[in-house]
Amino acid sequence: MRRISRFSKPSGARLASTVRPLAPLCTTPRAATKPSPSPAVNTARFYSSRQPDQLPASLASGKPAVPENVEEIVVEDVGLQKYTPEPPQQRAFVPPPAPSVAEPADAVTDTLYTPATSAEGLETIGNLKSWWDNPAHWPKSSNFVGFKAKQKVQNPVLLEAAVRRALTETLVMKQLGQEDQLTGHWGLQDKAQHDAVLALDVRVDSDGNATVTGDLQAVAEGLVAKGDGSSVEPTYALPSAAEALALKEQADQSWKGTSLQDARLKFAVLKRVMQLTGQVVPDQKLADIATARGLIATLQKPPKPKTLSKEIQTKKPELVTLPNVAFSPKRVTRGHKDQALGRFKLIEAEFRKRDLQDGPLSVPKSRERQHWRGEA
Amino acid sequence: MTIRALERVSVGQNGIGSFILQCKRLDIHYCDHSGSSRGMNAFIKTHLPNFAKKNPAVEFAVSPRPRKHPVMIGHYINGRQKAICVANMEPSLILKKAELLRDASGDKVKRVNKPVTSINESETWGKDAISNVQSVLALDTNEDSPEYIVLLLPWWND
Amino acid sequence: MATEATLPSATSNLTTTFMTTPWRPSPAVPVTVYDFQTYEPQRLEEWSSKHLHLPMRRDILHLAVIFEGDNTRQGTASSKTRYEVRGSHKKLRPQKKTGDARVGDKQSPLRRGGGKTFGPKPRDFGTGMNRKVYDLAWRTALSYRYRRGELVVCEDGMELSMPHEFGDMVKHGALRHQDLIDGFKAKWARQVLDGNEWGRAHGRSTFITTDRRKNLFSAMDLLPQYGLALDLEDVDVKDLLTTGRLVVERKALAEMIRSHQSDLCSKVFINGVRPSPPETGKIIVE
Repeated sequence: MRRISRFSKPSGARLASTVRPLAPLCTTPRAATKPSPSPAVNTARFYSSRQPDQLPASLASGKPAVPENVEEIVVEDVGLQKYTPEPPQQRAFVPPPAPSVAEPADAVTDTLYTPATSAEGLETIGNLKSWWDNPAHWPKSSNFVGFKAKQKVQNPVLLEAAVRRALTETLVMKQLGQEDQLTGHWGLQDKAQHDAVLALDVRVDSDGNATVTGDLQAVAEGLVAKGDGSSVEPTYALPSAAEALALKEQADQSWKGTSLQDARLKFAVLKRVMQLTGQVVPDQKLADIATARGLIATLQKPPKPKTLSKEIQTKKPELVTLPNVAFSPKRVTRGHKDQALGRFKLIEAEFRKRDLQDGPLSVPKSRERQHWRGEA
Repeated sequence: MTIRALERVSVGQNGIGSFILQCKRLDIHYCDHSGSSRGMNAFIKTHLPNFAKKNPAVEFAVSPRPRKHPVMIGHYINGRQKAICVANMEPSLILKKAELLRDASGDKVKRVNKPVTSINESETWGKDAISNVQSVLALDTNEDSPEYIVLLLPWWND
Repeated sequence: MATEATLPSATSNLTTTFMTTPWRPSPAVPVTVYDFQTYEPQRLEEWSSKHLHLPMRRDILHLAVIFEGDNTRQGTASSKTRYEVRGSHKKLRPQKKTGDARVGDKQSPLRRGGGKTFGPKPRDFGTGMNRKVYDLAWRTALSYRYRRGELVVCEDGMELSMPHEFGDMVKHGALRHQDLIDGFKAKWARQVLDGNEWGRAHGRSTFITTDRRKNLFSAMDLLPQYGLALDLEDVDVKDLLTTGRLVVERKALAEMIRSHQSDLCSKVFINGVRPSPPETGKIIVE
């Protein structure tokens, strides 16, 4: 199982396109194309003169472009051995170049050179501390990718769609007897595979046991298929909110009665939901989840508001709407009182009269700090 | 002799004819994190909506004051303020404090050690006894009956 | 009233169900074991309720934290009394006839440079606590975290695995300056913590491992605002209660519980057998 899809993908893809094997012959059709006569270096990289008997038939029978200059090729080859190509891994992250020391000003032979007397106009190269903050040195594609979805899904309709997909996939695997795959890592699929999963028919009996009918084998194969590394990995996790709503309306809601008492089934569903939605169900809630409906309810429960003002805005809007109640989500300071009284305007006007203050006085704290530092 | 009422312009008293609540505004401050505000936060959620609805004459200004004890400050029409720190109090107790602030007059707290408090100015033993006596005599000269004349001596003439 | 008529039957129904089914807490609670870095669920286990699902006891936690605080006090403050201050004990000037106040020697606590009357002396501030109560406090702290969903159990060998490009760069000598290595580690660790919702925006995390892990510990030293890493011998009850969550290696959790269950397993042998502690850490799904 690949832990992080990022690790092998970028370097593998680059390996195929830029770095070619040196000594042994390629048996790929690409190597079998006719070598161009002129660039000796290129040909030397494709086939070495030391092992002529391993040449592919097409090359051996075809007229070698320069059979006489074997010596030359050998010379080039020696040069190639000295050359060590940059390891492909280093290309994801770009380390700084080796430090070089500039000549002293009086030793420069260029007559046009004039030493700078001020920093103005000189290029800013930054320092080593902030080296990795530059996207050219640390590309976005090299960022850490975890198991769970990056963006936490809070939309109740999407959460329901994710549970349906996870449950159907898990039921398929279970029904096909692939019990060991239930705890494994399943890849994200493309939209067609996603739709195929949702098209499966889930029937639930009175005990909560579910049966899936449809093309199960194809779905199962799609789940456990390992990415080959060369192509772009499918990342389709969830439909859009409108699509999910439409799906919800057409679908029969009986699937929600599916029992999740089987620990293995529950584990697999929760794992898949975590991958699709980024929602982690805490351990102490596991025992209370008995059906798919219970799982949906657990996931849809909104997180506890962090501040009292947020809680009142969401849960007690009647307090905010009362005409004699004024609610401030942030601390009310002396400045706010001055602003409410209109005193701020007067102060600003007086400053403007005396050319002391340009712009509004009520600047944010961060900008004021910058101002004191002389940055702005 | 018939009893005649004295003709006087009535002195305005709050509650006679109309009543004006002395508390015009109540500032409510709380903190989201500290434990001393737990009761206050519960009060805002449970009691405040009802209390504010019942007291439309009072303006309620609710705002956080991080890292401080919860406080209620009443502002009164005489320009004074009254603040109560409600740290670690139960919501029901905070409601009582809010009622106290609402009902208060905003005056400084006075020591009351007499069973009866008159709203009228003292006419006899005021600050200046002599001027009081003169005024009483002058009043009585308007009356026809001389037996009403009282001789009031200043306190030092004992 | 109509409600009054229906109320009694409803309550009696409720009471009968309570009477017939007494409350039996589950003897074990589920624990999901995750892969450390990717946060992928790996297993489901069952741990004893006596280890991870104890009722909250604020008083016991308070006792334990105070006990630890007392015992970590260094107690080395020291000052000199008048008898320890260096110098002559000669009377500074005659008792009488100088016109000045009477004085004794110059070490008097009243004088500048004199001794301190009741100054601190090195002492032990340590207090005691019953072993069984302290152990209960330890498991109560873990239970508190579990119940709040703030206990993340990870697989053994918890270590921050860096991208292999990083190792290559270090090996090739491409990162000559320590700032480059630290900057890389810090950025990578920040991404891991933020991606798993363990970082600064989510209330910091305490990482607990059985021993010191090179990458994890050095990265957390660079990112104090994202949390801290502790090895087993540095962990106290207070550490279990601070920061937003605990990310614990499975082995470390098992060891913490094993060494803090004296109130559960008696030392007394019964019929030649010592009672065994409750079974814990049973794998249900793998």
